[in-house]
Amino acid sequence: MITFLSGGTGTPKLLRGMLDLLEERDIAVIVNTAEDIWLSGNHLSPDVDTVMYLVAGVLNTDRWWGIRDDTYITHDLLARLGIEEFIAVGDRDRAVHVARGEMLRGGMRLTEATKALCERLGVRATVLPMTDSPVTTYVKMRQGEMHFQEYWVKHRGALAIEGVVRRSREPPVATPEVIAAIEASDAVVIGPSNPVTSISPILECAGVREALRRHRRVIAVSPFIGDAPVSGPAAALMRASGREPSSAGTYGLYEDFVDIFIQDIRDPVEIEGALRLDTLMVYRGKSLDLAKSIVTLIYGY
Amino acid sequence: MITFLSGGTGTLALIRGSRQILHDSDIAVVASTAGDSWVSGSHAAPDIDAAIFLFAGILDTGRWWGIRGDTYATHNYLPKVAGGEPFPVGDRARAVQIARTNLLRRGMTLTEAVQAQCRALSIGATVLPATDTEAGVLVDTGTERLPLFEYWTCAAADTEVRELIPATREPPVTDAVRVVIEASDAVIIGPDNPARGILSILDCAGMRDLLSDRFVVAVSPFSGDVAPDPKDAALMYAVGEKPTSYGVFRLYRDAVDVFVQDLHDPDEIPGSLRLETHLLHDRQAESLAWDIMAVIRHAVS
Repeated sequence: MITFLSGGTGTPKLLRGMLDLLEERDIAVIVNTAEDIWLSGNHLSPDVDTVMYLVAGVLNTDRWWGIRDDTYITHDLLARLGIEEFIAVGDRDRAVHVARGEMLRGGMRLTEATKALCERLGVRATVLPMTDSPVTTYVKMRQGEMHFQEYWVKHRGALAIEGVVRRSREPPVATPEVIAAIEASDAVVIGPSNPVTSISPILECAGVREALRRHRRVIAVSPFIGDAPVSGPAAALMRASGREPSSAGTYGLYEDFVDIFIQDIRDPVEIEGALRLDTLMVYRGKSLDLAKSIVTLIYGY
Repeated sequence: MITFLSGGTGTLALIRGSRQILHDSDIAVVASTAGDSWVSGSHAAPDIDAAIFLFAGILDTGRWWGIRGDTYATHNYLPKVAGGEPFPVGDRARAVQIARTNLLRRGMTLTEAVQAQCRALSIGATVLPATDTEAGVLVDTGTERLPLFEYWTCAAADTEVRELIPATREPPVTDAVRVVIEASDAVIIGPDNPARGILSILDCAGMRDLLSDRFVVAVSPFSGDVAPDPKDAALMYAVGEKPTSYGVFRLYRDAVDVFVQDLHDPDEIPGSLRLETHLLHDRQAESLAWDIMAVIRHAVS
């Protein structure tokens, strides 16, 4: 089994290749939940949903979130009624938020709710929220703090930010399922997700870093080529959290546990001992190529 | 100004007929909140919504609730993702519920939220909830407690009704209701099953006193010629009356000046006014409205 740490875009692109290559049951994905938010009365878990929809084969892969061919009837009427949902929630997507909202209101853990959703959607891979307790990423601006989803989705990341903070009522703790998945894996792969907002929240869950340090095969893929991220708002966020927006900055976050660090062949930044691969997964074939290379690294064939 | 008390389907049909005679701006509707419940994280208020939808010209008059031509993408997807709803919520109706819930979360009273929605949908009539206190009714079936509207729309016809349990007993009538009733020439209680909503309105603290100063016309929903719907009968028995005009008369007699029953109703109620009360099509509703307005003009002039 291979366990992945995932956010909402980079790692799912790698997973797309892995799903072509591996038995679905041999894949576990530990997913960032620090972008979760209650919206219109229900529970949105953007990264969990993206991973779940990807594996279920219903993901809208034009934008890497939401359900393909969804309709937006409720969302559109809400706008006419003066309620602007900051993210365009599709009608089917909303059903998932509603089902999860009801399960959480009924006292279920997020892990159990995710499992129930996955079973119904025919997902045989193991999708694990990093923690069951709420933790939220906010960006700091001069005017105050803003939920990361609002910053990234509503404002398209076009605001000057001064920092990134995580807020939670209690310090987040990795679930037993998360630790067990890491321990039972032949390798742990950190895909090219945003180190600050996608991967760091997972690493901050008590128990994860220790489990990764104990693991002898942790592979990380840098999301940067030079100072530009392959996709997403990583650069500004890295800077805002005092890290260099590059593979070097990324490596700095992972170096205490990473065994193999993968950089893009075009990346001008030199990291000693790093492995160079084509990490630009611009289409399905590229995802598959990178997945093949990583699986070969792990199993040797 | 004429105020209708509405809690079911018959009054809505009568209001539809009355709109041929009265300007919308001369109509006020005090809607029952007995059917209110929380569904999928938002506030369902079927009787309020039905009145709003009627004036907006979008009511599904086949069943007298919900929006005509609505779609059910979210509702239909829910069972696929481990969810489910007690009754079918349309995508557009859901938007209306979510919008109202957002207004309630912002601290508006139900009355303020409903007024805002009426403005958003450019409705000329006044639609008001009977009370701002949460007063949804649960039906005790002996094995479980179902929200009244869920019982009405989805329970098996032979489901036992032991007791009707309101969330709040005698919730206070609102100032807005007080103002419209005091400004009304007459109050009309349409041919709704009293136990489905009208009684909840009459039970609001202050309501019967308000009505005692007004000219009140009530129309019996039962005409004796066909066996009443089993759920209508069960609800009437649950409030201690038979499903007959006489049973309805006993529930209303303190509040009503003129009691209208059908021409062919075998029940003899002294002093009642006999009219054609079947509202199968719009013409009949308009005709009944004409007759009632004539009675009102005669009485209050």
